[in-house]
Amino acid sequence: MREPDGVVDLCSRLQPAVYGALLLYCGSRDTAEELTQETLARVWEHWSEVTTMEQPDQWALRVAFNLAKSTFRRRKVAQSSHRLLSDSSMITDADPSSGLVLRAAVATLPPRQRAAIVLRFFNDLSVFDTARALDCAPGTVKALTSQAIAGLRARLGAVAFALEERDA
Amino acid sequence: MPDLHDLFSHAIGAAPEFDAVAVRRVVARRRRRRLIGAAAFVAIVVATGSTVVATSRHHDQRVLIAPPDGGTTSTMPTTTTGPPGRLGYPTLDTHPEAFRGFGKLAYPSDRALVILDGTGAAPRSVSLPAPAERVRWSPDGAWLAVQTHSDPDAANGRGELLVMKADATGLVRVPVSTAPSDWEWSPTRDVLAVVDEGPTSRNGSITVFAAPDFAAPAAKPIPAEFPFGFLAWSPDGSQFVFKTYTAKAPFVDQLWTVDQSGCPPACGGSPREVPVGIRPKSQSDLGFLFAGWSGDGRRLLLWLDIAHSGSSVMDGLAVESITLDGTSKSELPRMLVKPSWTATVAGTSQAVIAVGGDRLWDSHRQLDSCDLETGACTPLVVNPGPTIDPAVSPDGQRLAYVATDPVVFANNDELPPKSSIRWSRSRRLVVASLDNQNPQVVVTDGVVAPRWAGDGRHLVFWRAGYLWLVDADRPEPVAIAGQLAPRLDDFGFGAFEQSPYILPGDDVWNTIAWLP
Repeated sequence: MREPDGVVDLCSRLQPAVYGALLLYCGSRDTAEELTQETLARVWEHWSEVTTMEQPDQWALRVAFNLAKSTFRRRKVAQSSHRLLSDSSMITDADPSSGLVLRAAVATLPPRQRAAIVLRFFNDLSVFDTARALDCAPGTVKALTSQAIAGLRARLGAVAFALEERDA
Repeated sequence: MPDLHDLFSHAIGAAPEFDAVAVRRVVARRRRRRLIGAAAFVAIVVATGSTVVATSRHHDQRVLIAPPDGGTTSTMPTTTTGPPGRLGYPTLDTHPEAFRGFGKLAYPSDRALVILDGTGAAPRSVSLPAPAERVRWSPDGAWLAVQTHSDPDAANGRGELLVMKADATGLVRVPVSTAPSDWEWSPTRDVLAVVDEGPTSRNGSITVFAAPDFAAPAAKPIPAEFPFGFLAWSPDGSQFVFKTYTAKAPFVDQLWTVDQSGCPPACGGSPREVPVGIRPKSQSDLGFLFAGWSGDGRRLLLWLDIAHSGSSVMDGLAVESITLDGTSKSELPRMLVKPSWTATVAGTSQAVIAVGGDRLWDSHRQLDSCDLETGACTPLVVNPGPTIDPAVSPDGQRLAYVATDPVVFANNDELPPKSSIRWSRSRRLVVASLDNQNPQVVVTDGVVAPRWAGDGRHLVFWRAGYLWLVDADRPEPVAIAGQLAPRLDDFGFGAFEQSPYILPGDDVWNTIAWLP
């Protein structure tokens, strides 16, 4: 199979952004790696369309979040979701500098808030681009982001953080 | 003060490098599969003279094909009806009138709830604000509780709990602060216990609501430390139990009970810890999961949750049978974590259990007859193929179960494996006496999860996207409801019964409510 020109370069560039967003959203490295590979396989398979896109990065992130949502929907059984919540709560007393605290706090946010804050403050998407990725209105993104920040601050307690938003 | 972006980056650490070889392999394999699938699809349509009725991109799953005469068929197709890995169920005529006198049935269909009221009338479809995830009737059938999907696309982002009258009027949103983690009707009164984990998951509560006012709690919420495990009413409705976890090592699970014998009006109350007596021995982490109650209501069944490990849960856990005063306990064999695979005999401590571990469907499974007091189990149904889905009639006289062929799992590279489809289609409904005398095959071709009607003679089961009713003594199954929403396996390639794995939470009755 002859691979298209540029696909490996783009996938290599997308990998850290997609993986990081999925790790924050899913809370599991294994799941994030699995879904990252699947996302990049989709990029590869749709290469002819991807090359015509103005913002392939955003498209890939949208694919990644849709895959994550589908995965959780399929895997959702009551016990396992309780377990997930439980596991994420368990590590909130760990050393804040380890990064586990933040991931655990993000994991306790509702899915849409989680997606919004990850896209806005990890992937550095604007409100408008985040809205396109989540298929909702910009106002909804602002509300979700605001709720997510409030939720994070409540959960993180002493771990203070600043916000450098690209736009309002 | 660190920036949130920097904190996120720090929390993620180093990302793995892009594995071009692996992705290239995935893409090539899919391309081959699509080519083979398209060829097979065309060959089947041409060979059978069938007509493609519709293809659906909903979940990218369903390809519906009508038989050559344009009519309907009462069995699953004799072959896969689409590209490999996709199963199309034929569309069937249903006969809800045959369900007259068999109680009330409700199940979700997209953003609607379908209700059969047991009078033989046509099903009623009720629109919902979001797709329903779980539906349950109150014990007298006067009320219906529906939890909408905990889905980012749902109306409020997390789903909500709704209660309506049996005729679908008077819909009320049950006021809890977040989507409820769990909720259960009392088995004896129109009282609903709802778990509300609270906005921070550290300040949750259990709130009891009583008919007819589900818009306001019947009592002050019962504060409970969370994370939360499960909630279950005792069979006599006098109490409910729930489990919490400790939030840090050694991760001890705790079981609590709350007396509700005076509810209503005296609902709520203070939790009392149940001395489960399950403590880690060599391991530092041992918990439990709710497996059910004995038929006499005196014993609680718990799966021993080794190390709180998801992998262990997938491969099955041993069951502990305990009394609520902690004075007696016995251990039962390992089984998959499927509550429906324990069939208790009403009013006794006897149960029929599908025992056997390992997640793949071709692992050996048999039915054992167990005494839940002593833990003594004796083999009851041992076949060459896995025997599963036990159900005991309400009078305790008859046993129904699903027997299957010993098909060996093959070709992990193909999803779903053709061998898996063959195994799924070999599922047949067997009815016998409780001691498995005179077993009779009643229905063949893909029977899933049979349940007895109140008369101890009829059964309802799932097959090929429909619910069926059959008289065990005159086995002519009739499709009474469907098509139900597609139930996909965890890989998203086919129907759930084609999955290479038997998944703990995949029970068709999770989303369907039947009040016999």
